[in-house]
Amino acid sequence: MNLLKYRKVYIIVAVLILLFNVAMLVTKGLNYGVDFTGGTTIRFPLSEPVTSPEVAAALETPELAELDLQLAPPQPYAYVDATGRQRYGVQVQTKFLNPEEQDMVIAALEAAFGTAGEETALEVYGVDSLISQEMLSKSLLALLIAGALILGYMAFRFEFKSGVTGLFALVFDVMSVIGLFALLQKQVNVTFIAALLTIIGYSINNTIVVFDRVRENLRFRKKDETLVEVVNFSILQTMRRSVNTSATTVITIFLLYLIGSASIRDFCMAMMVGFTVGTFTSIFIAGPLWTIWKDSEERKKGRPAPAGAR
Amino acid sequence: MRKDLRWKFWAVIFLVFLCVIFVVLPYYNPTLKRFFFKGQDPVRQGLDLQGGIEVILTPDYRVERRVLTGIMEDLRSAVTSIDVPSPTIRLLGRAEQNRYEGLELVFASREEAERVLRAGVIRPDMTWRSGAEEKKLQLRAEVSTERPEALKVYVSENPKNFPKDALEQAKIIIQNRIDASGLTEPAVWLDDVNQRLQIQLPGITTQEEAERLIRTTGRLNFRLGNRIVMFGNDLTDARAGIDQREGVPVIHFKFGRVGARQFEEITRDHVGEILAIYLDEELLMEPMIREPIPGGEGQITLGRGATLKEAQEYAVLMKSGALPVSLRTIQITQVAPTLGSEIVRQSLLAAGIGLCLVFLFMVVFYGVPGLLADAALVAYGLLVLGIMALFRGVLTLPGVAGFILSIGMAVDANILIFERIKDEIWNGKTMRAALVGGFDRAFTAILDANVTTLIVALVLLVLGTGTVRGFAVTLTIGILASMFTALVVTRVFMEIVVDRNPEILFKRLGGGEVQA
Repeated sequence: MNLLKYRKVYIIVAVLILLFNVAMLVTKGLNYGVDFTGGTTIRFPLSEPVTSPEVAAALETPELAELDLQLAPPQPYAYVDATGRQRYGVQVQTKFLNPEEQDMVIAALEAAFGTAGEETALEVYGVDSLISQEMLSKSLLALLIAGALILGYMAFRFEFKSGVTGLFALVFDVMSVIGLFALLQKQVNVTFIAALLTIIGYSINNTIVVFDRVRENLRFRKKDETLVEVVNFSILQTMRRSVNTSATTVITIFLLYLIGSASIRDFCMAMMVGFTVGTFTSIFIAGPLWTIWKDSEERKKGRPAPAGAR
Repeated sequence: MRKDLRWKFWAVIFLVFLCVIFVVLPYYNPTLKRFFFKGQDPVRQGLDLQGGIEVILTPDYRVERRVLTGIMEDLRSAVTSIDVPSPTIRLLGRAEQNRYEGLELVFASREEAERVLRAGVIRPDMTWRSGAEEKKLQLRAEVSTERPEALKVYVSENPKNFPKDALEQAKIIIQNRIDASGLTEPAVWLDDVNQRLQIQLPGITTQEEAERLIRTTGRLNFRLGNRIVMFGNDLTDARAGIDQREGVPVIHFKFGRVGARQFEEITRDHVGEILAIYLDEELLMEPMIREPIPGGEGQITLGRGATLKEAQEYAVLMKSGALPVSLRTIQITQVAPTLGSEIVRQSLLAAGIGLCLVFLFMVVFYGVPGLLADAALVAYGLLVLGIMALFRGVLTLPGVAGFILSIGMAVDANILIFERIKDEIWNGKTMRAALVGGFDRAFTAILDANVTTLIVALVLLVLGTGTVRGFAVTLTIGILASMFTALVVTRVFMEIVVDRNPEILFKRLGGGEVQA
């Protein structure tokens, strides 16, 4: 099987998909959670479903009007919990509330819809804009530093080209997940960043296994073997392992997605998409792109590269 | 059996045995639990799994209304000194514990506002005085984005007004307060660099409970008339009791050396006056000074109608109010315990099913070696939990995900090794040689893959906050443990089997399954 026959097509398709995702990011933008914008999210449990305007009306008391809540449209939700019971609730998002203001809002909700007792699942998450900005910049910094360190390590252990192509595959993976979240307008928060970094770790893992094989096979390269043949052979050798590994992990995460509550689902979705895409990129992007680059260099020099890619 | 194999095998068994004693048994045996973990769970659950309230506090450098009104006139004269007509001045932002962001100066036109800003008459530093009180202030002026003819002047206290270790002191005070409440496993962390105090109150379900412990974070102060004459920093104790002679509730209090001297001076000079006690801007009590109080020890007698309970509440407020700096809440997380336990159930279920699938997969695909890898995976799981317990790591929801991910990586290492051994057998090597060759050849891939993931985990560990850090911790431990189990444990198991009966391994790995 010649996987690399259409290597240029893969790269073109990859670049197109990448551009599509960038376009998604630019045109739709990301739906940042309170982690990054500052604000308070209250998930208030209810005994029966309500509508968004009902909740908004309940929060229009004279006291709360004075607070200038900056209320986003309340989002009712429903789910079946682990015991199989149908549960309802509503998510209310406002500006960052200090503890007193938070009590006032919850009291208003309780007055309208009944008490959120101990048996229920009231959740509050509030971040002052004082640190939300810092969280965003730290998250971006984490992504950049992780990328740079990976590039450095790969350049050290393999060669610079492997580092760059590996990094391109990573950017592709990360952008695929970001693009999807922009398209679906799913909320982006600190946990999402953790998911992205996990995807990075996992995807580079797959890519390295391929490059490791190429590195080894180049050492035993025969005189008449072309670079394309060596890489093709290496990818085929590692393909079953990549698919096996990814399948087991994705299945485990898919189970968590099925069983898990709303707060875990987005996290699991990001990882499932990222891991799947990551498996494809390690096969169809990292190796082929490296081959195109390396091959053109060898052609320019007019002789096969010395055996062994360091 | 080969000699080195024997001791390696027993070393592995011993390690696993240790982990079982350390991690699994304490769940069933309270004595062990007390012995190893002071009665807590071996692997502590994070707030998101256990339920509870977490807040992050930071020093509140914003200033009170009285300070702002105090500097209003200074600003006005500074502005008029460069021939700009006097602006309308009002408070900026909304009151929060009677503190405001600063002042807003509204001019007649945009030009005037910009002229004032350019002239630099609003100095970045200012000092505000009232009686014995003095505050160094920091000012920052900018043109309002909503109203170009207005200047926003942000006013905050200079952090130098407070002792350097103010936050450290605050931490100790809050820690004591929480410890006295008898909560299980509360935690207070200080991030000195970013000036943050992170407080976790697991198991607490309502804001009211948390309120008592964390919200009364104001600064205790004593006032004569409307002037602050003393702060409560040096208050070492405040306790409620019943006065023996009069039978009314009282509060005994005690100052440290510096506070005692200050308090003596004040009480000596102002006998017969009211010494009001405030927490920030909130009036607590208005006792009268009956006589000079030397030595820093005295008592406040509450009125006839007061109960002992009231006295206790005041005592708690006084003591808790003795924070060297006011704090403001900048992050709140509240998770219902029922929700947390639901998530734990879900994750355990998912992890359990996932593990079973992985185990099955390994046996179906790789036969006896797969079974050995499964045994190694069990050892791996125990090892990770053991290390978590040893370092008192906290398991959060993303932490569970990190754990699942590292299981994936542990399996991956095994798959890599087995595929390599297959290749070696395919190349015509004997089972024993193939085993050695397979492990050797898989090593570089395993190393490189794990090191890069480790890099990501460490970046998260350094830059991450809260739950993300929990994820990084389990991921780091998981990666290291997975390398150990794949390269050492699986290998020992396999070598023992090869030593005894190479045929079993050979059949599946070499025979039917190999593909080109």
